[in-house]
Amino acid sequence: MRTRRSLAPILAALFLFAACATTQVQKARIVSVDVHAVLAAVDDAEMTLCNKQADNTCKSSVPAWTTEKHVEFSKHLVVALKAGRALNEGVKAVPITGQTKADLTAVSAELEAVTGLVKDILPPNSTVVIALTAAKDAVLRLLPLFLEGA
Amino acid sequence: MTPMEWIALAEQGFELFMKIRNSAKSAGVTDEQLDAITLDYDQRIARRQADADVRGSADH
Repeated sequence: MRTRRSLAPILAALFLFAACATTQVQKARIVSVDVHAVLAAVDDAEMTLCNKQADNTCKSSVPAWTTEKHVEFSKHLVVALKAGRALNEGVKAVPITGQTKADLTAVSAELEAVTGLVKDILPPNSTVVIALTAAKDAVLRLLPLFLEGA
Repeated sequence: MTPMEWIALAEQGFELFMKIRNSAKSAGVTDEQLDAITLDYDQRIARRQADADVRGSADH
């Protein structure tokens, strides 16, 4: 009876630890799903804007959005997508490492870089600008959540 | 852009974000769902990498 009593707080602590760990892992996984969704939205929006032709050039409805701009945009988005992929793989592991946190920061940095590219070229109501605004907003909101969960 | 235009844009962005977030919310994200996301990333990376390399190959 005494043994059972002395084990109770330890078992309770273990259950609590397991529950917290599960919550943190699930939170981090939802962050990864969100990051993927916003990056995919930005990716699809710019691809639509480019309106790529058979010769790999863009024929955009916005004349200033040239093939060169698309290439520059793609260079940054490749880095963002790779960071998003690494983050997605990182949240499978427990505990989540500092590298995974760095991956989310890298996504944020590349979103800033592509925002610089579209600035003064695309109108504010462009799907790409709206998707980028949503993506940056999402990452800003997710970063603190992710840090709590990591 | 005026402050009002910026607010309107941010609201549109937030609505899109909430839509995405609500669709992501579920009882839990499984390993299979994460694997599907990785696969989607691979396809997008390959597509973007090809576009990013266009200028590089033209320069050579």
